[in-house]
Amino acid sequence: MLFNSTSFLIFFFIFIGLYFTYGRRNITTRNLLIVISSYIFYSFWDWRFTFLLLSSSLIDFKIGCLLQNEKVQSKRKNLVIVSVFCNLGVLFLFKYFNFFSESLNELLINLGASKFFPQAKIILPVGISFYTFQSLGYAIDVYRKKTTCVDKLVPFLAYVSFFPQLVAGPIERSTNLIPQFLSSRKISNEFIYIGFNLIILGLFKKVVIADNLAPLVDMVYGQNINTGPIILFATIAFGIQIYCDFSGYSDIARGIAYILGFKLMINFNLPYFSTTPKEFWRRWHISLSSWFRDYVYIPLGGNKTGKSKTMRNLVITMLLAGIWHGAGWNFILWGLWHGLMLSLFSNFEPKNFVTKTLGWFLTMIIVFYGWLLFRCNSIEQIVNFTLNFGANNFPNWFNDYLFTLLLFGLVFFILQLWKKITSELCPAINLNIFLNSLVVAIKIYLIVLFWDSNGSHFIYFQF
Amino acid sequence: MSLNTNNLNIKKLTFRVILMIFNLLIISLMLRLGAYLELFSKSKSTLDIDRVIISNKVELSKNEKNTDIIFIGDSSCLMNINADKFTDISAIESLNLGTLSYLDFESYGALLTNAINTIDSKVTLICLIIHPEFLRRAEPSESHIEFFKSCNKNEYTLNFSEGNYLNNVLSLNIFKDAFYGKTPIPLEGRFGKYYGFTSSLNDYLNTHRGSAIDPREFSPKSHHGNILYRITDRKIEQLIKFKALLPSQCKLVLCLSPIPDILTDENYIDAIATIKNKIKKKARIDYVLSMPVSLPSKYFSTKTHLNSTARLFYTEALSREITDLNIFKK
Repeated sequence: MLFNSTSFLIFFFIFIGLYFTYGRRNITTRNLLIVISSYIFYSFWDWRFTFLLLSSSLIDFKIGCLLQNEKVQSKRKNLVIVSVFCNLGVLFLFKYFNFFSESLNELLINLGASKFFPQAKIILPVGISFYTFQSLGYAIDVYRKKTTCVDKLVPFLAYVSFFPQLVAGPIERSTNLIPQFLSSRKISNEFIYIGFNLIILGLFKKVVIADNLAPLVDMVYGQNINTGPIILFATIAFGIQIYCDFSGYSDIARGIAYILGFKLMINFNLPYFSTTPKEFWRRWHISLSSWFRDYVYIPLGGNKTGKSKTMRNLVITMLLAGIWHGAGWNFILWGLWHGLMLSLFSNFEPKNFVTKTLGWFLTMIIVFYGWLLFRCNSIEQIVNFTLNFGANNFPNWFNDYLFTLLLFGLVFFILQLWKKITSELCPAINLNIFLNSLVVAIKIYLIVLFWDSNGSHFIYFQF
Repeated sequence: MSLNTNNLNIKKLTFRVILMIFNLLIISLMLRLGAYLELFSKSKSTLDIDRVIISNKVELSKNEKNTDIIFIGDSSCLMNINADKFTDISAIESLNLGTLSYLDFESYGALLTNAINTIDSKVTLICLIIHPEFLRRAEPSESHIEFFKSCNKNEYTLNFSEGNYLNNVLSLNIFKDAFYGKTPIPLEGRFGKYYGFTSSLNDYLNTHRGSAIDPREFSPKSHHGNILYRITDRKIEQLIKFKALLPSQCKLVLCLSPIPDILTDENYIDAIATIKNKIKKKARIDYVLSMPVSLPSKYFSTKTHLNSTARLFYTEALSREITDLNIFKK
C-alpha cells in the first residue's frame, strides 16, 4: 500500500477513527492497534512476509531481554552476534544471495568452469533493509547499555513495525522511538497542524515534482541515450527526483507520526546546499548515515586511528552503505565513490564565500556523478555514459527536455530556497492561518491534479 | 488515558479545514472565470502518442492544400507508408492521414471529408491502407473516438476522467488542458529515444507529410495469437458509408497491410484473398492492390508495423502498383 494511493487514504482514515476512539483507552490498546494496523498495512504487499517481520522482531525482543539480564560480557557479546547474524542473515538471503551467486557463477564461467552456485526463486520483501537495521540497532543499543530492554512485547512489535516508517524509514533509534510507545502521548492542534503540513509537503514533492521528473530520467537511462548534455540533465533530473521521492516519503512518514502523537527523526536537511561531501552525508538520509556512523564507522575506529585508517574506515563504511542500497555493482561503485571522495576531502573545511562556493560546486559534482552510478542499469551503461559526458551533440528535442526539467526544477528550487531562508520545518508553516491555508490549498490542488490513483512506487521501496 | 487529547481544539481545526476548502474553491472559481473570459488560449492536447497522432491528423486534414493522393487508414498506414518517398518516386503529391486502429471508418471518413474540403486541387485517389487486425476488431476505442471528435470540433479537450466529481468541483480539466496543451511530455520506451517528446513527434509528422516510423524491434517470441482474420458485416457496412463520402472523380484503392511470415500458415494467403474479394464485391472498391500479404519477420518493428528500412521498400512497391493503375496519366 503506497502513501500516494487511494487505498492508503481509506486505510488511514479508518485507522485514525479507531486510534482516536479505541486508542484512547490505554497504552496497550493504542500500541496493539498500531501493531495490528501496521501488519495489515504490510500484508498488502505480501502477507507471507509478515511472518518474516514478526520473526525478526521476536528474535531481537528475546535477545534484548537476555542481554538485559546477562552480566557476563562474553555471553552478552555472543548474544549480540546472534542478533547480527540473524538480521544480516535474513537480509543476505533475501537481498544478496542471488547477486553473489550470479556473480560467482559469472566468475566461474570466465575461468572456464561451469555454473556451480544455485539461484533461489525469492522475491525481495519490501522494507527489509529498513526494519532489520532498526531491529538490529535496538539489540546493539541494549548491548551497549544505551537503552534498557523493552520487557513488553506489544510496544516492541509496534517499534519495529510502525507503519509510517516501516517500508522506507526513517530508520529510527530505539532511544528515540521506544520511549514514545511506552508513555502517554499528548496530541494538540499544533501536532495535527504540523503533521498535516508535512504530509501535504511530502505528497507535493512526490506527486508533483518526483513523478513528473521520472519520465525525463527514464527516457535517458531506460533507453541508453548517449548525448552528453542530455546525460548531464537527466542526471540532474534524477538527483532532484530521488531527493523529492525519498524526502517526500520521509515527510509523509513524519507527518503521519505527528498526527498520531509521535516525533520521528528528521531524515533530510537541505543536502543540496552542502559545501563538502562530509556535510552532504550529515544532511542526506540522516537516519541511515548516522546508523552507519554509530554502528560501523566508530566501531572500526572512526577518525581516531590515524589518517590512513580513517580513510580505510570511511571507504569500508560507505561501501557497506552502498551494498545496503541494493544487490548490484552500481551500488557498490556508488558506495566506493562516496567513500573515496569522503576520504579525499575529509579535511576540506571551506570558511569564506569563495571556498564555500567552490566547495558547493565540487560537492555537487561528486554527488551528481554518484547519482549517475546509482541510477545506471549496468556497468556498460556507466562506462558508456561516463565516456559520453563530453559528447557535444544535441537531439532535436533538447529544448523540450530542458524546458520540462527547468519547470519542475524551478518548483523544487523555490521549495528548497524557502526552507533555507526561513529554516521552517516546511514552507509556509509559520505564516498566518489565511496565507498558510492558501499555500496548502495550492499544494493540494496540484497534488490532486497530478494524482495517480494507483500510486507510483517510491524509489527507496526497492531497498 | 494513553492519548491525551485535551489540547485538541476541534473548532479551530474545523475552521482551518473550512478555510482550506474555501481556498480550493476560490482557485477553481478563478480558473472557471479565466476559461469564461478565454484567458487560456485553446491549445492542442498532446498527452501521449495516440493523442498526438489523432490531433495532428485532424490538423493536417484541415490545413494541407496540395495533395493528389491521400493515404488513410490505421497505424499500419501511418507507419508503413513514407509519404515523402512516395512523392519523390512517383511525382504525385501525397498526404498520409493514417491514424490508429482504435478509430473506426466513421472517423476516417471525417478526416477524409476535412481533407477533401481543404485541398485546392481535386483529389484523384484515396488509398485505404488497413491491417487485417483492424478488420476483425469488434469495437473501436470509445475514448479515442471521443478524443477524435473533440479535436475535429476544434475543442481539443483531453477527456480526463470526465464526470469525476472532484474534477468538476476543482475545475481540474481547465488547468490540465492549459498545462498539458503547452507542456511537452516525454514519450515512453523506444518512442522516447527516437522522437523524444510529444511535441517532437508532432513536428515529425508535420515535416514528413503525416508519416511516422515505429522505432521498436519485432520479437517473434512475444507475438502469438490467432491469425484467423475475417471482416465483420458491420465493418463492410461502415466501409460502404466511407466509400459514399468520396467525390465522383475520386477512386478508392484498398491495400491490406502485411504480417510477419512467421505468424502465417498455409491458409493465410487464401484467407486474405477471401477478405479482399468480399470487400471488393460488397463495398465496390475501385481497386484492390495485390501487395504482399506477409513479409519476413526481420522487416517488422511490431506485428502490424514495418521497420524503418522495410517501409521504404514497401512504399516503393506501393508506388509501382499505384502507377500501374494509370489513374494519374488519365
